[in-house]
Amino acid sequence: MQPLNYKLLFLGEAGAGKTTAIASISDTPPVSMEVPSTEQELIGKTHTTVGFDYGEIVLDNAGGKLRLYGAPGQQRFSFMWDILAQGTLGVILMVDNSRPDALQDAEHTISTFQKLFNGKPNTAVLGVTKSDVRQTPQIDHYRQMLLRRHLLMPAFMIDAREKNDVLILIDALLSQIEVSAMLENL
Amino acid sequence: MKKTLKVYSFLGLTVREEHDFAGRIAEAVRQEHTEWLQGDITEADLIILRPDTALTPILLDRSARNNRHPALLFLHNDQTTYRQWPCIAEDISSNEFFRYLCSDNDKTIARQSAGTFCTLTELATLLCPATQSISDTQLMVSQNESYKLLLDKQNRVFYVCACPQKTDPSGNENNWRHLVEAYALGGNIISAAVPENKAALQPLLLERWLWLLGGQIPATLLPGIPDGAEYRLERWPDFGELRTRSIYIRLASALVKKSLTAAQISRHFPLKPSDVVAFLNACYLCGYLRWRQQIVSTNEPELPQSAPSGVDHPMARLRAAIGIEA
Repeated sequence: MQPLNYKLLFLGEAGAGKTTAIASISDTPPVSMEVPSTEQELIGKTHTTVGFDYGEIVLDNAGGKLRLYGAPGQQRFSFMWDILAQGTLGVILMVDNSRPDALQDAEHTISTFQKLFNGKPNTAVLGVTKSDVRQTPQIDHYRQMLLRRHLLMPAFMIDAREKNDVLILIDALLSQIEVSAMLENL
Repeated sequence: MKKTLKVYSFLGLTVREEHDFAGRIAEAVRQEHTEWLQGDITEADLIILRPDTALTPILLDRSARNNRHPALLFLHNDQTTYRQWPCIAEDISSNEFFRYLCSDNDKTIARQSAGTFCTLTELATLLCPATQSISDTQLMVSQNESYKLLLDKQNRVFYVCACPQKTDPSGNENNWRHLVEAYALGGNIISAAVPENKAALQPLLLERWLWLLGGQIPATLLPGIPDGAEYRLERWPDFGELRTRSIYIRLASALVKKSLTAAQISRHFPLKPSDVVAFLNACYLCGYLRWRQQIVSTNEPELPQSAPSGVDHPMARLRAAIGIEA
């Protein structure tokens, strides 16, 4: 049996929880290229990713891995997004609900995702983090925003620190791929 | 005694009492009369009530404001509280009541309580001025520990009160079952045991509560969901909050994209029919479920059988390797 080798991309604004999510599920200590942030007040954290985050989940004894890439959130690093997106199985979009313009951030992240794949079909799921810090917008607001954009993308409230929460995002991503193939036969 | 009653409604009765009354009224009506409809308290000519529940005066006030003064039949003698209302009997026994019912020569229409009695704001103001604020996502939980008022996504009101004969000290399963029974009867007022554990009275996300409730109804589709239809989901459930099974995530993936019958779901997903029903019920209560009636064809070709989801697909292998349980 061929070893399983897949790649997932985590995309979102700075501070959305990409680094934390990867750390939650990675089998190995994640490689993170973080530096002290010069925009601490703006993004609400002391360090930010300037290269990319990398983690992996070992899938089998034959060297199979699920590789997890976290793209740097800030616009000035957008040149890296294309490179990281190549060959990805799907994209986990992340939004920080505690930000003053969380919905706008989500719209921006989704626009980035759509531009990144240039209209080609690709599977994505939206994970909204830090709803314990700020309770609004609620998940329905994100759903409405997705529907306005004609996207039937799942949107879940999650805690990026919790492995099970991040696995739910991955499960939803894999489910969409799996079920699409099944529905073609119906 | 005036015998021109047309509509009966139950108020504050236990599920068992509702069952008993509904069954016996049905029997009486079928023997003596011709119609059996469903309605709500605002149309009732006779209300059979147990007045010792908090919602009773509110609903009667509501009825009065609509210039309706139905006769009241008390299961307990409590005329002093409701003396302004005409009473047909005082602490009447059910046998006496049914003798009375069957002696009525008029055409009688019996109805069960159903429907929304008043707006959410009215209820919130009248019943629970000191409760926590209502939101779309949170249950309204009264500070009175003897009851809960719950609102679902369709703005249906559920009143859950303590009811000792329903209490099952072994756990909550029995409570869920009785809630479900009451719901299946079409009533919005539910008598069920509130768990002794006070932590259970803490605010709980409404969606999660409804999901759990729906998941406890595996036997039949809830009233309002047509049998044999093609079902789809209007939107994705928030599985981040619902904490449900992985197989349901896959099923949701399918139903947001395509309408499927229950039989098709059972055929293509490794789910028991009862699990499919529970899933549909949960989605219905949460307000996700939509449907269209299936066109029945006697010559309908058998759909090709694909491998059940979660068996051979590479994503299933990947899911298993990551450690996501089906």
